[in-house]
Formats: sequence, structure tokens, C-alpha cells
Amino acid sequence: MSNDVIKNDSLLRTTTLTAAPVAVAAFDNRTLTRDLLALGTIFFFIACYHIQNPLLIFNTQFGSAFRNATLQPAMVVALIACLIALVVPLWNEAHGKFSPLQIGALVILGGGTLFYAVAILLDVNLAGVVAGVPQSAFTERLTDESPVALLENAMGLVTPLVPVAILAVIFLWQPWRRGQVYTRALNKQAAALFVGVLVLLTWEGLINLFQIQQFLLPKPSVIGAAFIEDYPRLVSIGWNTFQNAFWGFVFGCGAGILTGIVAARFVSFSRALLPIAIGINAVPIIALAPIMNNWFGALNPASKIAIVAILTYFPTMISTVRGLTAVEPMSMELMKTYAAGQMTIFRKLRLPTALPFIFSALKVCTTLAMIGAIVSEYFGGSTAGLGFRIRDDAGLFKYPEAWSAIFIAALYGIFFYLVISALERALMAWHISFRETGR
Amino acid sequence: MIPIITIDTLSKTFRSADGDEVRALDGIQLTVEQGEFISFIGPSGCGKSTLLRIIADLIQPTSGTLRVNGKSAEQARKDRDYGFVFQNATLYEWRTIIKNVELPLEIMKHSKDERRARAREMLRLVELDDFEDRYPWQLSGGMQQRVSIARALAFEPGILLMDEPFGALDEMTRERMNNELLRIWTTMKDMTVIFVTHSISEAVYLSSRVVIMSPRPGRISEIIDIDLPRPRGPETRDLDQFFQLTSRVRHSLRQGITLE
Repeated sequence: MSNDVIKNDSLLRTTTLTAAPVAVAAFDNRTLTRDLLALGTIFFFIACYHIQNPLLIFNTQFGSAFRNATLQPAMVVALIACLIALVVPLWNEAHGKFSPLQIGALVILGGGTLFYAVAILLDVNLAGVVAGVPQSAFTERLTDESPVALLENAMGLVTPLVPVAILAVIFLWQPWRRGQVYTRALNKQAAALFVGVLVLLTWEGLINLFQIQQFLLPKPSVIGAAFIEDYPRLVSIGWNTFQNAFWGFVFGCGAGILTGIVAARFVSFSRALLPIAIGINAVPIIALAPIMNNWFGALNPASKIAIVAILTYFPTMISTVRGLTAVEPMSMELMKTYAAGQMTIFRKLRLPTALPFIFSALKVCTTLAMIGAIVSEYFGGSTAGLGFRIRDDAGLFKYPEAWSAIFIAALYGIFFYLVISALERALMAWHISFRETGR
Repeated sequence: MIPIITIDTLSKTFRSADGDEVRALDGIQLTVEQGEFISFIGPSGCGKSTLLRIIADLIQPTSGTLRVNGKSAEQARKDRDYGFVFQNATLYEWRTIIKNVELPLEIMKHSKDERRARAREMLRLVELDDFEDRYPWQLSGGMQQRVSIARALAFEPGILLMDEPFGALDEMTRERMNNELLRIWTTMKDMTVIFVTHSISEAVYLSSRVVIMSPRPGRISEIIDIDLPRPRGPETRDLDQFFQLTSRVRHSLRQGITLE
């Protein structure tokens, strides 16, 4: 027997040995995705309830900010998307047959989602119609003349929907059947969790111990309380800032990838452009913020979007050029032996080679985009933006509020990063960084 | 006999960055006939890989003429007359095994069903049909090189050019790959193989003719006919004739070097 047979054999053996852990890892990923979807569905249900409940929203000073023009539809769409993504795999697992209880849960969830979708997207609150409350009460600030009692009746009709819907999600989600998975995930993240909790406890403890003033550093518990108190407003102004970051990211990275492709195609072009790009990339671009305010107007989101676009443009462009030209000579010669055209070489060789480069730039750019969007607001901007709120709250000695704004900025940043990571994982599952070896 | 490749007084000079000229090939004269299995062997720097790359039109000769299938090398490349197997398997890591084999068929715009069927057939030929949905990194070096042979043969070229394809494999794997290659070559009727190697026994075992090359400048010093009986198998390596032929090649190679 020659060596290759033995090699084959040992490969087969190792694959069967690793097959089990790989399968478990895949299972982990799938169930953890389901956990996220379930938690997301619950979150968006609560958020939609808040959007439609003027009694809750208008208590806060900046409450009307939560009635954000793009945030509300986004919340509804996210709720629908989460629900579909949660239910479809269940449907496949059950081979198209649900038990009566599951059907009941689905009806509750479907009905609740439909209720909020109609109320928020079409401005028709059915509970309001039943209770005889004018629809304007759900979209405009409450005045003393508003029929508050009627409104309380209407919301009383809707309020039980939320806990029932949460129960339905939990019933479909069945977290109790995945105790093992959670223990394993917990073990894997135990160190990080431990350190995280330790840091928070030390923070809290040291401030108590040394009697540090609140305005220097508030306790995590105080920040947490401020966050929970104020979360609808924070989500809303965070959304404004996130939108600036997002559109700046889209324009900046989009232009970066496109010009990167052109620059990589024409060597003389990239030779002329790349050193300049690397030079400009070293400039602290955020310093341009006041100038952008001057160009576009401080209150115009375009000034923030422009900063983010410039910030994200150069890293993406440089990485795209590097990636497209990082093709191995032999892979290129292979294409030459097939007499492949430039377009084919681009699609089948250059682009896949460049993808890892482009995505690592995009991931860095999610952070850059959030930094750009927030810091540019420090130099003036809409009052309903995170940067403005952080600066303003800090100026008014409202430090717990400022810290909770920083916290929501972190959440939006993490969310942004995760979305791009998920896209990366979907497009380049073959890549070395995603190989699951089982350990 | 139909001549497939004719090379006449071909030479290649490389110019280094500081302007020095290096004569990689000088006065190459060779005719390869249809269905031949021919090996280029020689010490490093003798230009055997350069010659193969010139035949493949990956680089251009400085002077002399070269006809492949009665056409210029460039035309032959554009007509996809040959398949090329590189030193490394050169599989695209973002494609599964079967998608790698389908790559040339995709570029040549075959239909989807045809591609799949053809790639399956090729993978069966190299005995890797159980691995079609794996990614390259999940395969051993020998298996990867078999995939690359399957890929080179997928579009049924009349000529197979191989540039030290088993150079990175250990001796045992290499011998097994040699048997596989002979089996495949027998299956593919009238396929011409040009095989670059630096292993004497590999060259003798596989070839119908061995072209011995010497360095500085790269020249053909001798062409030895290998009249070992076919089909060849592991027992061929034990024949007295095999030993005689390998030592003949070895002596010829040694002479080529001492000529310097």
C-alpha cells in the first residue's frame, strides 16, 4: 500500500473524528442565531409597544424624538424580519406541521405584529378606533384637552398583548431544551464574562469605597438606571446618529470599492493615486468637521455624512486595491492557460481574492463611521443626535445621562459591526478564519 | 505519426534588472508526436520549465519557431488546445473541489448540467468523487494535485503540459501518482503529455522519450527512447531494463553538467 492511501485513510479518519464536534459547532451557531432572533423579536415587540403608547413616551422630556420618521418603520420591518427568520426554520424542522399550541402562538405573534404594522406604517391604531380615540393622539404630543382617559382605555386593550406575545416567542423558542448549548457557550465565553463582571463590580466598589464624586465617574448601576429610564429617547437619537454613520459608510465605502477597482485595473492610475491616498489616510480627517459644517450647514445631516464618507473612503479604497492585486502569479497563469478575458479574471479570481481584504476594511470602517458621526456632532449639529447629547449632558453635569448615551453608541456600533460580520460570513464562508476545526 | 509540437532553433534570453543577459535556452530543436509521453529532465537552471512555459505561451521565445497543433503557440492557447498542471495544485480556495474542476468549463461557457456531469466524471477518474463538496484545504497535497489534474483534463485537451506536478510530494505518494497518471493517459486516447521533472526514475517510468537538458545555456543534450513494455506497473521498476535506462539517463545528465 502506498502512502497516499494511508494518507487518505488517516484524513478520512480525522474527518470522522472531527465530524462530530463540527456538527455540534454548526448546531451551536444555528441555535445561537435562533436565540438572538427570539431576543430580537421580544425587543422589537416592546419597542413597537412604546412607539404606539403616547402615555409612556410623552412622559420624557425629549419623548417626541422617539417618533422618529425612519426609526418607526425600521422597527416594524425588523420585527417582521425577526419573526419570519425565527419561524421558517421551525416550520422546516416540523416538516410543515405545527401542533395546535404552536399554531396558537403563531396566531398571537402574527396578530400582534400585524397590529403594530398597521398602526405604525398606516397610522391607524385599531385599539384607538375601538375606544374612540382620535388617531392624532397616537402621533402628536398630548395636550391637557386630550381625552387621556379614553387613551388609557385604548392602551389597556393593547397592553396585555405584549406579555402574551413574549410568552408566545418563548414558547416557540424553547430555550429550556438547549441547556447544554448554553452551558457550552457559557464555558467558551466564561473568561470574557468573568472579566466583564469583575470590571463592573470593581468600578462600582471603588467608587463606593473612595466616595468619588458622581460628576467624575458615575457608578455603573446609576448609568444603568439612567439608561433604562431614558431608553426610548436614547434609541431614537442614537438612530439619527446611526443613520448618518450608515449613509456615510455606504457612500464612503461604496466609492472606495469602486475607485479601488478602477485603480487596480489601471496600474499607472493606482501608482499615482495610492501614495496620495495613504498620505491622506494619515491625516486626522475628523478635524475637517467644522469645515463640513460650514459647507453643508451644521444642522444638515449631509455635513456629518460627508465626514463619515471621507473617513471610510480611504481605508476601503486602499484595501480594495491591495486585495485586487494580491492575486498569486500561478493562479493568474492558470487563467491565462484558459485564455480567460479580463472580465472573467476579475469575477472569478480577483474579486474572491480581494474579498477578505475588503471586508477587513469594512469592519474597521463600521467603527470609524460611528466615531465620525458622533464626534462631528460635537462641533454642532441636530439636538437629536448622540454626539450633541453627550456634549450637552456633560456640559449640564448630567453625567449618568452622558454615559448612557455613550452606552447606546456602543450598542449601535456593535450592531453595525455584527451586521457586516454576518455579511462577511455569508459571502466568504470558505475563508480560513471561519474554518471550524471542532476545537 | 502526426507531429503535435515542432520546435526549431528556439532560444530565450532573459534580461535581469541590472541589464545582464541570461541565456535560458539556446538552439532547441524538438518534435513531439501525437500520443507521446515525453519528459524534460535536467538540473535546475537548464530551462526545462521555461521551455514548457514557452510551449504554453505563458512566456514568449526570443527567437526561433514553435508550432503547436500546426498553429502558433498563442493561437493554440486561445483555442484551449492544452491543459496545464502547475507545481502547486493552484486550486481556488473559495471553490469546492467540484467547482474547481468546473472552472475551465465555466470559462468556456458549457451548460450547467454538462459542467457538473463532466466534473463528476473527471473526479471519478482521479478517484476523488467522494470529496466533491469539500474545500481544497480539507484535502492532502497528493489529493489536491489529483484535483488539479482532473481540472486540466475536464475540457478534454489533446495536450497535457505538466510542470513538476509531483515535485512537492513524498516518494511513496509520487509513485502512486505516477501509476494514476499512466492509467489516466491510457484512458485518454492519443493524448500527448509533456512532463517536466527532476526525478530520473519518474521520467523513465512514465515516458516514451526522455529529453535530457543541460544548463548555461539551456540545451537539449540527448534524447533517450524508453522502450520499456507497456502497460507499466510497480513491477516495471524491478526490471533490469529499467535500471539500465535510469543509469543511462543519470550518466547523460552527469555529462551535461561536466561539459560546463
